[in-house]
Parts: sequence; structure tokens; C-alpha cells
Amino acid sequence: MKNKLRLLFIMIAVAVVVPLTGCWDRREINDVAFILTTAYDLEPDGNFRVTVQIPLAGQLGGAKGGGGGSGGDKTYYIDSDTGRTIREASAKVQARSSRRLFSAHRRVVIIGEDLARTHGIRDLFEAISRFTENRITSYMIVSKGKAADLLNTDPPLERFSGEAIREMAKAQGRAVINIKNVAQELNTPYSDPVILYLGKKETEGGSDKKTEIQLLGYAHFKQDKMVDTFEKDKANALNLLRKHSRPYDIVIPFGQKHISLEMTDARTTIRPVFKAKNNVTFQIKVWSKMAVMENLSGSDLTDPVIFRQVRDKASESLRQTLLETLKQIQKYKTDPIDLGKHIWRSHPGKWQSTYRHDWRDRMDKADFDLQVQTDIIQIGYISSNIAEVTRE
Amino acid sequence: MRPKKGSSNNESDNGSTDDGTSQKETGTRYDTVEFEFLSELDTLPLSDNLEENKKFLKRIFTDCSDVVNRPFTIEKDIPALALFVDGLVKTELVENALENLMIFEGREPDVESLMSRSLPVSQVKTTENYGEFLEGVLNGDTGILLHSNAKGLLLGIRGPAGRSVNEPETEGVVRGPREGFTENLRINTSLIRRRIKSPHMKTKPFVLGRRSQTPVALIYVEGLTNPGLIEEAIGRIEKIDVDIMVESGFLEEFIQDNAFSPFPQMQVSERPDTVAIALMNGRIAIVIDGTPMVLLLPTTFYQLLQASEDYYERFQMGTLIRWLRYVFLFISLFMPGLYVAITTYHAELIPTTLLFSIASAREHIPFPAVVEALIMEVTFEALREAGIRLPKAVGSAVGILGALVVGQAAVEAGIVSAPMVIVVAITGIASFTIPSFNGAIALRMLRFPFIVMGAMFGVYGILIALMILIGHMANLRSFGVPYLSPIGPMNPASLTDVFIRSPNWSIQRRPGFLNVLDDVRVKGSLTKSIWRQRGQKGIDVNHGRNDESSGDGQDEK
Repeated sequence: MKNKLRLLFIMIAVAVVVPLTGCWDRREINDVAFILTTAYDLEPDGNFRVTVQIPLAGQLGGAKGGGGGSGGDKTYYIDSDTGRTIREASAKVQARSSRRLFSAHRRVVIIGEDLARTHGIRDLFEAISRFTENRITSYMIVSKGKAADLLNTDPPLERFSGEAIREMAKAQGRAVINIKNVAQELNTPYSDPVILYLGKKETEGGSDKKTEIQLLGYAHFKQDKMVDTFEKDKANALNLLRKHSRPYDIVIPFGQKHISLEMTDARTTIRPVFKAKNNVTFQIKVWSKMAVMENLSGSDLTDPVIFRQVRDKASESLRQTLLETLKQIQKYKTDPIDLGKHIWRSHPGKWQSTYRHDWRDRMDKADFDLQVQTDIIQIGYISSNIAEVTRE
Repeated sequence: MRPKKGSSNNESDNGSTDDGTSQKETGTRYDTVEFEFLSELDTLPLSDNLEENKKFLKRIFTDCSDVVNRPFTIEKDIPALALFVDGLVKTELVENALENLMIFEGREPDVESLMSRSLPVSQVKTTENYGEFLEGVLNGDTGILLHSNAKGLLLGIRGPAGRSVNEPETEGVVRGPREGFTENLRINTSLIRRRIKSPHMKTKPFVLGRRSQTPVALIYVEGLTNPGLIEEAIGRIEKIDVDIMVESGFLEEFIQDNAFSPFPQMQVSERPDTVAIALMNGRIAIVIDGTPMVLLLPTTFYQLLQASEDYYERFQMGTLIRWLRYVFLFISLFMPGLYVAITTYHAELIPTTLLFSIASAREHIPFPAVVEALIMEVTFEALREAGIRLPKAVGSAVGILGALVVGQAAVEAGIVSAPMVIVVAITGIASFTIPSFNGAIALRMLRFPFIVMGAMFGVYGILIALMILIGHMANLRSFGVPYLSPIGPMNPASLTDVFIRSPNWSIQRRPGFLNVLDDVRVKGSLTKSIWRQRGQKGIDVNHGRNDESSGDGQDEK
């Protein structure tokens, strides 16, 4: 009797447990097509164009698979369609695919410049985040020109253009710009996202040309609309201002020629001070460490006087680009470096009472007290060019 | 009972003392004795008429070609009879004993005096009934019956043991004793006795098997092992009523707590040192004649994951090896199931590049992942089974065939994918890391339900199966000891022998869950001083150097 009850109990438990699994969502890997990268563009008629890059499982093989992009059969294919909504467009692509498109492994999302500038990116998050299959830790990228064109490059070092883009985004280190982080920055009305800005470029020098992907800098957003770009030095300056310093090279003129320096490390502090009434001044201090990589000027860097001159030149050059960057930020009344947040953190009362409501208008009137201090920590292991004529 | 000397048996008084032939017309009561089991003869006394005995023995041993019935005469006129089973006795020694008897002179030949004066045999026993007499003879004793003596002698000259003591095959070690048990009960008990030279180590004898009459010894340490446990074990063994008992597995199935569990509730060991350590931990060993496998009980799950060598090498290594086993325990149980579940339900869990490798390998495979897994696992089990049963020379051929056919050709032909081969291979290796074979079998069997659950319900299914499994294991007991102790009912003091292999000097107490009577293993003061000095340091060791003191003196102050 006890045993029978027990058996009954087990049967009920099993019967209850089994339907808890929800739907029968078994899918063999063979029946799935993995979307590696999606590119979103805006069509002239206002529709969305969705382009997906899908690796061909058969071509991926470890042992038999050929190397990178050496011509011939590609390891992926690209398909695209348009629709009034993003879902409609991707449903059309799905309709002509024999396998179920599976986006859980999409690690890069590319946004066309047109879409970012005229339509804004806020609508994209709707389609992306509504279902768990799309991972919101995918990197977000803005492409120069059409997003689909960026997908159609074939970077020689990687198997897929999407993979190359991901590697470049990943190399940005701590400053991860993924769907989740961008969405969070869009949440707050007084701060703005920046998104990596990539373009394509023909390789030079080789006999057969390849299109390679190039990191151009950051797309400058005002809320969800792109307004400008930070390129070259400005992008690096923005990194410093966002406190995500990454090593980069600067070239300063010195004497007749140039000196190449690598900024290896930097630290930034931003402190709001309220000197004048109703106006805020940001004291921005940047400490940077640099190393001399190439010295064409012929000057002897071991000479303390020259050393100091080089150091001051480097500081000045860095200061200039920082100022230009700040100017551009102010010009569009945007706040990608979270200046508002600095006020909020150090003077929460003031922020709540005065600045919060019209931060963007006050933003462009803010003053900057910019101090740049540079240490040259290394001048290399030689004092002068080893091929220099030293003997009479 | 005391022997009733010379008297008794009315029917046999008339037996003519001179040898020679029968007294057929005197129909003795032995003519009608029918029996099925020897125990029924316990009430049948030996006759003091040798002819009667001879006749009866002849009748019951008809067609037993291995039973030798050797009449002889002591001192010219006393007829006697030696009865033994050829092959069970040491023939030279028996001959030696008979020689002594035959030239015995001058004394009245009764059993007692023979025993005390003329038999240079250490184990001699007298008996008055047929049951005991025959049992002794069939166990390898040499039985001697004298005329006009209603008592028989049993000379314990047991013979060639068969196999000599060899290195245990199932539990090899690099460092440690190389003796393994044999098929002979006496040798086995002696191997244990050699390690525990204490009168408190008891070897309680049993005879199991109605027909086989197999001797069994239950070994424990008095004053250490929980008396309740001993009582329970004895009680369970005494209930057994079966015709033959040939292997520890027979006994295990009769006395285990849960007859239907896939998990073994007793440990099996071929190593005397393992058994000795177990006895010292307050466990009981059961030695069965005819098998080198000794049962250890009670057994908890973690004990199945320990090998004796853990204790012989450095404790750090013992700890690492244990963790390796724990990890591989889970691998051997879950790996194929998880692989199936994740590839068919949770592809998003696999790192993208790894997924692409798997996808490309699976691209041309005609089967779903479950079928693939089942094919491979079943094939692997078949290969393993084939390898065990075959002679060694052919066994290696099976290995090669398996590696080539399953490992390579099947992958190249696109029938199974390479990742699946890797998964199955790792799983196979993982199950070999479990030191006890019977523990590994449980996991081998349970792997299949996990594959099925994983294939039907994904990781969720595997978790359900795991819950059921843990529930079952928590429910199991081995002779009253919870199977998962000391983790199941938490016993913190004993955990030091589970998660790590504590240094020998630091384990001061025996495992708490066995309720031993005396739980001191190492004196606390010793542990303390080793701990404090980080080892044993001599106080006055002076290596002939007077220039500096040898650093240890300070510790003592």
C-alpha cells in the first residue's frame, strides 16, 4: 500500500515535471543557421534593410577547411531584405532559408550611418531586446556608409568580416560598447552614447586588393541620433576624457622634423567647481605617460633641457586635441563623457535643483580648466641613432 | 557432549574385531539413513564399529572418485581408516601422520591418546557425529576412524592452496604492499592477521550454502567496531539460506540494504592493507572462501572514490588525485548527457568558435545528437565488454579494432562526428579513474538515463535526473550508515578525509559516522607538536657541527 502510494506520487511528480519544460524546442545543430552579424540600414523609402551574415557550417571544418580568405569558396553567405519593421525584413530572409536563423550567437550588430543619422537607433533596441535569443552583449558598431558594405568586406586575417569587427571592438579593452551599455546610456536624458565607428578600406601595397575593415573612431551621438564623428586624435582624446585610456601614438613636430611618442598610460580626473554663479567649470586633469618611439629630430634626449622641451610639446599637443574634442562635444550640446554625472556625484543637491532640468543648455556654456601633465617615462634603450657618425 | 567411552550402540556390539569382510545380515541403522544436507547428520553419532562406519561412508561416497578411503592398521591388529579428499590435503604430511600411526606401539589405542601422543599435527579435532566429521573431511581435513572408538579424529592438514599470493590485479599500486588475497580463506585471514596482530581482531566463522558448505569469516575488531553493527551483520548473514556461495557478489546481494539500487553498498577489495585500514576505522570485513574479493561494510559513497595509495603518497598529491576523481566522476556521469542537451537545446551556451567547430563536424552526420551519443556509448560499452572477456592476446586486437573502427573510420565515413568521439572517449577515461570497479559500474549505467533525459528535456532534464539521483543516494543506507555521510548528514570532523586527504598525523579520530567505541587514532599531543614544529624535530640532533645550533631548539622553548 505504501509502495503503491509512493509509485503514484512519483508518477504525478513526473507528469507535473514534464510539461514544465514548456515547448519542445529541440533543434539539432544541423538544422540551425547561426547569424554571426546583422547589419541594419535605412532604405530611401524609409524601410529598414536587414542584412545577415551566416557562416556555412560545411565550410568551417577544422581539419579540412581551407585557410582564411584566400579567394574561392567563401565560408559564409550574406542575405538581405527590407521591411517596414526589422522583424518583417528578417522574416523575409528567414522565409527563403532552409534552416532556422538563430541569433543567439550574433556578437556584432552594425548600424548604417544613414540610419543612425536620420532615423536614430532607438527603434533597433525594440527588435533586439524583445526576445532572449538575441544576446544584448553583442558589440554595436556604426559603419561609415552602408552597414551592409562593411559586411561584404573580406578581411584576410579572419574567416568572417563580422569576426574581424568583433575582434576590433574587443581590442578596445575596458570600454565595451555593446547593446546593453548603449541602451543604458540612452536611458538617461542627459548623457549620450558613443559607438565605435568603422569603415572599409582597400589594402595597399599587395598585388591583389582586399577590402579591409578600419577603425575610424567613434560616432558622436546626441541621444539616439548620430551628429558627428570623433576621428583620429579626437577619438583618442575622447578615450582619455571617458577615462578609458588606451595606448596610442602621437607625432609631435620638433626642431626640423618629428618625434613619435606612444602614450602608454594615462589617468584623468574631472572635478566640477562652481566659481561663477550658475556656471560650472570642470577642472580636468590628465596625467599621461609617454615613451619615445622614434626620434628624427636629431636632438639629444638625454639633455634635460631638450627633454623638457619635448615633454612640454607633447603636453601641449595633447591639450590641443583635448580642447578640440571638448569643443565638438559642446557644439552639439552632447555629453558623451558624463560631465553631468560628475556634477550629480559630487554635488547631488545642486544637480537636482538646477542642472538636471536643462543640462544640455548649460552644458555648452560650461568652462573647462584643462591641465595636462606628461611624463616621458622612457626614451628608448639608445641615446642616439646607432648608425650616427660618431667617429672622426 | 562428553564422549561416552566404549559404551553405547547396541547393534554394533557384535561386530567382529578382526578385519576382513562384512556382517551383511546385521542390517545397521546406518543403512536407512537418508539425508540431503550435511547438517542433518549432526545428530547421527559415529559408530564404534569400524565396519559399520566403512560401509556407511562407502555408500554415501559412491561415485566420488576424489574421496580416498584408506584402511590401515595400527600396531598390527587395530584396524583404522583414513578418509580424505584427494587434492584438498597435503598428501606428504598425511602420509607422515599415517606413518606415525602405523608404527605406534604399546599403548591402548583410543582417540585421546592418539591425539596427544602420536600425531605430530597441530590442528586436531575430535568429533562424535557424522555431520561434523564429514564437513571437516570435505573441507580438507583428514578424518581418521579407529575400531571400537565412537569418535573420529580430524587432522587439519589442508593441502595445496591453489594460487599463491599474487599482486592484486584489480587494485594495483605504485607504492604499497603487493600482496593480494587469494581464493583460500585461511590465507586471506592470515594476510589480515599479519597486519593486525591483536587478539581483539575476531574472525567469526560461518558456513554458508546448504550444499556448498562454504566457510565464511566475518572479521571485526572487538572493542572498536560498533557492537550494534556487528550484531546486525551477523543477523543478516545468519538469515541466508542458499544452496551455493561462491563469490562475494552472492553474499552482497543477500545482505545489502537496498536490493534495487544501482549503487554498491559494500566495498570490495583485494588488498589486505585496504581491509586492515577499514577494520581500524571500525568497519567489518567478510572473507569468503573461494574468492579473493573481500567485502567491506558499511560503505559510504566517498569511500568508493578512495584508493589505498592515497594514503601512501604525499598528502598534497592524495588531495589533488581525489579532486581529480571527483571532477571526473561528474564528467563520467554527465558529459554525454550534457553534450546532447547543450547541442540540441542550448546552442547559445557554447562559445561561438567552438560551436562552429561542432557545427562543421556535425554537418554531414545523418543522426541526431542523441542517436549518435547512444550509438557511440553502446559501442564503447560493447568494446569494453569484449576486451574484458577475451584472452589477453586477443584483447589488444579488440582495442586496435575499436580505436580504428570507432575512432577514425566512423568519423571519416561521416557516421559519427569527431566531437562525439572525443566526448565518449573522455567519458570512458573518466569512468576508469574511479578506483572501485563496482562504483564505476553504477555510473556507467546511469549515464544512459542522463543521455535520454538530456535529449528529451535539455539541461532541465539533466537537472531533474540529478535531483532524483541525489534523492536516491541520500535515501540509501549501508548497514544503517547513510550512504552520503559524512556529507549527507554533515559530520564536519570526518570531512577532512573527503575534501582533502589530511596528513596521517592530523587525523586524530576515526570517521565519526561509524560510531566506533574507541575513536582515538592519533594522540592529540603528537598531532599538536607536529603541527607546531611543522614536522618532527629532534631536540638534540647535532650533526657534528658546533658552529651553529640546529634551528629546532627554539621551537621547543
